[in-house]
Amino acid sequence: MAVLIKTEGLEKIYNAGRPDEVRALREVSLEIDAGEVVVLKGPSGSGKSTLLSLLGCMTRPTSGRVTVAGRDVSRLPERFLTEVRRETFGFIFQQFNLLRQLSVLDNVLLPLYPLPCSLREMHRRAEALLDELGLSLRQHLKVRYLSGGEQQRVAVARALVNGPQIIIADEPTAHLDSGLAGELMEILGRLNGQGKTVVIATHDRFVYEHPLVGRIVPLHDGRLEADPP
Amino acid sequence: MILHPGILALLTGSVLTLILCLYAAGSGLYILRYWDRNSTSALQYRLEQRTVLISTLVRLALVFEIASGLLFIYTVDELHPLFVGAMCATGTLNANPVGWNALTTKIALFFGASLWLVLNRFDDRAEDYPLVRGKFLALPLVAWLIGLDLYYQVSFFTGLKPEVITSCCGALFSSGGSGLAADLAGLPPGPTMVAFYAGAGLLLLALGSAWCWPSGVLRVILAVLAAGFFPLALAAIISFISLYIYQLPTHHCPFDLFQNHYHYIGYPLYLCLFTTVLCGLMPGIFTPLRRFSSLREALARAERRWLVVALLALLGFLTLASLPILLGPLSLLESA
Amino acid sequence: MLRHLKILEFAVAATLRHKGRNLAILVVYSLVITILASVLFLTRGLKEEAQRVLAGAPELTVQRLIAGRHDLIPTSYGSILASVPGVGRVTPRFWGYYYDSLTSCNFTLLGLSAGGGDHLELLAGRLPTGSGECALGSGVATARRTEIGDDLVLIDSHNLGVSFEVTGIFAAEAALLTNDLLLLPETDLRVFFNFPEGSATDFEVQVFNPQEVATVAAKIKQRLPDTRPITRSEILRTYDSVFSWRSGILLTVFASALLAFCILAWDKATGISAEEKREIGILKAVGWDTADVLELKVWEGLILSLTALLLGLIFAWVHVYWFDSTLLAPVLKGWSVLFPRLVVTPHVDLYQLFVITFLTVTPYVASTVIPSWRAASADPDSMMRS
Repeated sequence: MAVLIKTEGLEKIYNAGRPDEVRALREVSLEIDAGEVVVLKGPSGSGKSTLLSLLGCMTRPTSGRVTVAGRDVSRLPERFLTEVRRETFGFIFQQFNLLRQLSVLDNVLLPLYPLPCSLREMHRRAEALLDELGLSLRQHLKVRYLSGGEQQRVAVARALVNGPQIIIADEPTAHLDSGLAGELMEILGRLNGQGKTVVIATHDRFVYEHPLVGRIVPLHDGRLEADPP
Repeated sequence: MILHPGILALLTGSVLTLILCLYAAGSGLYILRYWDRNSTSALQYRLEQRTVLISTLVRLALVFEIASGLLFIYTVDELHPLFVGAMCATGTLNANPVGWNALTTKIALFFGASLWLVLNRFDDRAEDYPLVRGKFLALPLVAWLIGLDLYYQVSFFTGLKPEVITSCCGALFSSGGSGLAADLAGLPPGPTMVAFYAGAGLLLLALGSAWCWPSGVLRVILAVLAAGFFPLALAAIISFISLYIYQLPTHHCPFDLFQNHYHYIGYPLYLCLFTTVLCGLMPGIFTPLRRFSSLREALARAERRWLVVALLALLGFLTLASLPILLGPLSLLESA
Repeated sequence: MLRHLKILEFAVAATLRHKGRNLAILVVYSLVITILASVLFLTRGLKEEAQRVLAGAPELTVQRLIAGRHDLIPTSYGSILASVPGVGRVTPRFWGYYYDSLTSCNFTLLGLSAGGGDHLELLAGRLPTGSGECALGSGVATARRTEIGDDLVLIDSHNLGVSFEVTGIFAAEAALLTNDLLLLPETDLRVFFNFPEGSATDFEVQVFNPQEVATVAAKIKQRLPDTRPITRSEILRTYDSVFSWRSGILLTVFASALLAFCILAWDKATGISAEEKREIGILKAVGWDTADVLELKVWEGLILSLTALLLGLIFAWVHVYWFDSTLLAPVLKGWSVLFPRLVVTPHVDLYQLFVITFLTVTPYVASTVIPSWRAASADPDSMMRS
């Protein structure tokens, strides 16, 4: 399998040089193959979210290198980093991070505005996804009226609407019961079956012991606990 | 000073634009001071963010300056009844000749700001910011031009005294007068037409050559010809084009073309002229950017676009200028 | 281009979503524009009315000056004026001001020569033909509660009451010219004001060739150095200048209101709510870059500006053309106490709209662009860490 994401000696320091300086990641080197399902496991503060940010081109490392599909993204200007992010990645956030005053459909459309597709094409893609996820009857409802499980599916639809290769999920089951957590893992399994790479940050045992997960990468205090296989 | 609303609008807008551009220029110098392309620090990231603000501010300044150029012409035209002897914008400008400097500065600012924005766009499109140094060193020049424009406008408007007898385009743009405008109006139509169409022909040839061959020398020649075509076209407008449009052998005013009784022909005419000159200048001015490998592809694509636009604009300008000559009843050549 | 239109579409939806937040700005902004636009509409209307009205004025009016003050002019000057080449009809005029203590108003009394008054149209009743008759402007009639057939008593220069029978009242449409006018037979007026024999107030001079007016005026000045020839174009220029000056003064005063509004706009744009910060963070996280978000904010600002501009222009239109500039007219019209009801002709002037847009939209965009950029520079990473 081809290596899709690779990090070498990754470091991330927040507020460098200030009294509140935080070394979130130290010397992290990691490879993720295309089609893998990888879990970043660790307690709160271990650097999982920071590593996900770097893998997902949300931010740049303080030092080290990140390569995505063979392209070094470590020093890309924000504009190009954002381009890589919106073309390659889909994000599922811990708090879903949906715009509650918008409808289901409008939330799902958000990632498509900067992309070169017409409004009609945008709506076609979004409605197709909502249909697949069983939300087409709710598409015009404001998100704040949806249940937790439905909001989770909206978040998944939004993450998929730009046709990403890689799904990044940060503590996706944090606010879900076991039933909904199981549903989410099923969806992620289906996506993996379609060839998508999935990277999940979690400390939820249900997730990291799930049969879908191919590899666990343990993190502690910003470092990998053991060399990845 | 005449407290005319148009004057207040112009000066308010110019002051605001100057403040924003000074801020942009200052930010640019700050960016240059701490810029390190190889750094991944938070400071470097913030500096890159700041470049977005600077390009937005200069873009706004350019939009304002283009709009204010038109507002300036219309305002000086509105003011002409206050000056004895003035019949149009030309009369007002001549009531305090600093006005011509203000107009010239606005034209220079249009070209300067446009070129800066194109340079900035190239820099934005490259992953390695190859033009950061050059563009932020050039930015104070744009801010300076805006300051100069404001200075000339203030001098012009505060120096206008309504009771002053002025000469208007009839006297100013007449072959019997004196000064540059009179000299231009006094140019014999026949030789001026020949020079104008020869210049246009050379420019067309240069555009075609630049399209066919990627030579940098050809592009520089094109830029020189485009720059030279601008004063030639303005002289032609004053000398004979306006006459054919007005169908009056003594009416040389280059501003009445904007009026509704001449079907606002001035707008497309000058738009085509400015577009021709700008798009003709750019291939030559930006040829040195070829040495940056990250810009070559973008530059090649942009060049083809500029050449097409320059060609279309030039053809548009020639059509608008020539149709009245070919179809109107006035004939200057017989009487010349 | 497609991307810009899509972001514009999102901006329109976002503006509508944040109705409450934008309403306060919209109200204040519209009010500022209403005032500015009212000033400009009224000024333009006054200038045009003055031009229309003065179209009937003589090309040249010749007055006499002594020690720099206007004085009565000898009627013998009439033959000298008539001898200047290019001069047509020369008519002495007899008129003056009368302060009516009863109504605390200033009236203009004009002497009507026999067969004269052709240029004064719109009369109900008839012009005075004999001694003891007068015609009034509608403002005078209203102030003195007088109708046709009534007697109007004025106090002459000997402090004696003189009664005039009202034979006609000028209609309201002519109010700008005649509102404070009292037309008497010329002989009555000369007696009333005790005009010295052989003098008039000024001369009305006709010039055949309008291009020659300035030359004729110069010749008159040469031959009669103690006179002041005033051309019609000078009067028009002066009115133009005065109205522009007055509107400029008002605009300068209201510049402080505009400045205060811009400070409000800046403050609002700078202090964005937590909800808005979150919204921007989410946009950045799902793939919008700083330039996209900044463009969104600029569009939102433009939508607000243009909406306020439209509302302000509509309100100004209604204020000036339907309600006769109730709030502004007293400042712009002048010192005369007898205000005619000025009905300004509605007129769409693109130049004015351009000026109003410049005066109002530019400062707003300028004051919000930097705060918008700060908001747009939110770190998408913060969404992961929140």
